[in-house]
This record gives sequence, structure tokens and C-alpha cells, in this order.
Amino acid sequence: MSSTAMTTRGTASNYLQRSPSPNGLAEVIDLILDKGLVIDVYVRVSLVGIELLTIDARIVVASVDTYLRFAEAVNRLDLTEADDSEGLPELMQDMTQGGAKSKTKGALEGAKDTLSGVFGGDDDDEDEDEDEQEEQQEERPRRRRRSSSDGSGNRRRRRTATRSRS
Amino acid sequence: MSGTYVYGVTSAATQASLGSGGVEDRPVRKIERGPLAALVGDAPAGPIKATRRNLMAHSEVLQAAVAGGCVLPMRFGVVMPSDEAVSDELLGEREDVLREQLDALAEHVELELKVLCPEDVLLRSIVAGRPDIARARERLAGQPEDATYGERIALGEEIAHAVEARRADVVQRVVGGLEPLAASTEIDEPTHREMLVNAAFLVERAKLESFDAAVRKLDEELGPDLQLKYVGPLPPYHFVDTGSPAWA
Repeated sequence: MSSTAMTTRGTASNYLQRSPSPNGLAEVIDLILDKGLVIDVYVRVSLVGIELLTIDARIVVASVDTYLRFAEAVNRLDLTEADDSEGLPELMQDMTQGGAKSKTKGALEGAKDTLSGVFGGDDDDEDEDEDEQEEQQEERPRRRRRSSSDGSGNRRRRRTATRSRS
Repeated sequence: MSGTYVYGVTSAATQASLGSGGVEDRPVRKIERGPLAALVGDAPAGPIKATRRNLMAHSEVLQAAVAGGCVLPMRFGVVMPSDEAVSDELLGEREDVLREQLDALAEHVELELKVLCPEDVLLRSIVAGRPDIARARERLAGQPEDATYGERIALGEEIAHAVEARRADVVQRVVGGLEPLAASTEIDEPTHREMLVNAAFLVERAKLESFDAAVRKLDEELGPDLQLKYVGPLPPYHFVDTGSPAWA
């Protein structure tokens, strides 16, 4: 799935294109589950069986767990390539431009998972004919959200981690 | 039929395309009252399941409508008891707030821009730019975890702050480059640890092309490590006013 990550940047032209509509479930969920007009008394939604899990939404939560995860992630980075004659900035550029994303991504546990959560839409459109059982399973790694119940404007989003993914 | 599912509200004058299958594969209809129209469909009994098919259908109906003009989006899952309730309680009782918003948003669309960066790429660039972090990393390499618990927390905290600073910097560059062209800007929390920026802009339809150009320029400026996800035109999900007492 990681190979589909760059569809918004055309491979041939390296030219950023605007997608006319949200092309994946993750994007759609962000928009329609807690944005838009609502008459609370008439909301009838069932999330039962969908089991949307939150990905730890905020990269920086001031917690020991987060700090340990960062320390571990940095510790696991393979920086040996940086010791070659090529400097790190050039190296990074080569890696991203050379389409070696899948290689770099594997370096960090969970990275592939989370990135595909955002870009997963590229696949979503292609398999619309799947039965719902499969649909629901694909949704599992994404997120569950909880929005405040008062429906008032300008709320901050709240998300609750339901599973540690460290 | 046990209810009427509501997708959104447009001006009755708007030639909204009704698209094909809606939520629960029910056809999309229009209920008009005075200057307003609601996009609706029949709803089955019981709650609407948030399946992928239903969620995508809700979005697609609104996308089809926005091609024809402004549509005020409803949140997923609003089911009113009947067409009459839609006409009376939504289009009738709330006519003033709906018209006010349709007028205010008539010539605008929403555009979304997310900036993403694979976490290891981000962490590499932080290590490269912070000799203190690089040294701490080397010092800890190969050390037993128990013996270095405190040091690892301290290193992780430094990294967390560096990540947050990086994110704030990119937000500033995005806002600086695009806000002047937008009627309104919303910066949401990232929904994802690899997301640096999660922004929505309200943009006049007439300025769409210049906004596109500004996004492309930004994309070049931000470099190949940062990936942009640019979507629109969308209904003004971020810019409808849900705070009015009319929605209480």
C-alpha cells in the first residue's frame, strides 16, 4: 500500500494535483463524522461493528510513553549511510526522489501502518465491490473518534486512543 | 420507510446534481420549501450504520451537489421522521440561519491541505540538525534499557519538542503562503502522527486557480520530504456555523 502514497504528486510530472473529492474512507470520516450541520435530536448513527480505532492522533503528547517511543525510534534509525561521502540532506533527497520510500518506511515500527491509514483511500476506491465484512475489517486500523455531545461550534477535536501501538 | 435521511441544504435555485445511489443505496431526492432545498433520501428503520459504503455515499452525494453550487453539509447520520419534518423543522423553522449561511458561503468552496512526512524521515532530519540529540542517541546506543531509563525519557522529550517546533514551522509556512488567498482558514489537530499540517481553507470559486498555483509553489518550497495532500472543492464542512442556537 505504501507504493500508492504519492498519487497526489504525479509520478511523471512531479506536479501536485488537486483531488476533486476525498478519495478515501479516512478522509471522509474526518469530514462527515464530526463536521457539518447537525440536529442532535435526529442523529441516528451506529458505529457498532465498525470498530474504528484511533491512531495516536497527536505526535506529541507530553507523556513518558511518547518520549520513550521517540527515543526508541531515533535509536533504531540506521544512520550509517550518512557516514558515506554523500551528506545527509542529499541522501534524504535521493531516497525520497528515488522512490525508495518503502525501504525507509520499514525502519520504523508502525510507520507503514499509519501512513497507509492516511493514504489508504487510493485503495478504497478500487475495491468498492467488496462485501461489507471486508470493508469493516479494513477500517479497523484507522481510528475511532468521539465528538463532544453538545454540537456547539468551534469544538476542538477529541480523540481517544483505544490501543497502544508502541 | 421510517424516516428521511438528510445530506445537506442548498438554495432552491441551485441546480444540484442528485448523483446516483445514496446512503443505504436509496435514491437522492430534493425537498423544496421557499428559497431552500434539502437533499434527502429514504432511511431504513433503526440507526444508520457507519459502513464504508454509507460513509462514502454521504460524501459522494455532497460532492455531486457542490459541483452545482453551494451546499451546506449535514453531518453523517441525520435522520428526520418524515419529509414533512424536513420541510417544517429544518427548512422552515431554521430558514433564517440557513439562508444567512448560504448567502455568506454562496461563492465559496472548501479546500483541504494536509502535509505529511514519514516519521523516520522527520526524525532523521531532526537528528541531522541537532548535534546534541545525535550525541545523546550515540551515548544510549547499546546501553541496557533499565540503566538509561531517565536519559531515554530526556532524549525523547527533546525530540518531541523538536518535532513540535518543526510542525509549528511548517504550519506557519502553509498559513503564510495560503491564508492571504483564503476568505477563512482552519487549522485542525493532525489526525495522525505523520501529519504535520491539517488545514482547511474557504476560497472563492473565482480564486481557485490562483490558490492552486499558490499550493504548487508551496509544494516546491517545502521540498520532497514533505508530501502534500490537496483536496477540493468540498462543501464547506469546516465553515458552516454549527454554534447557532438554531442547532441546539
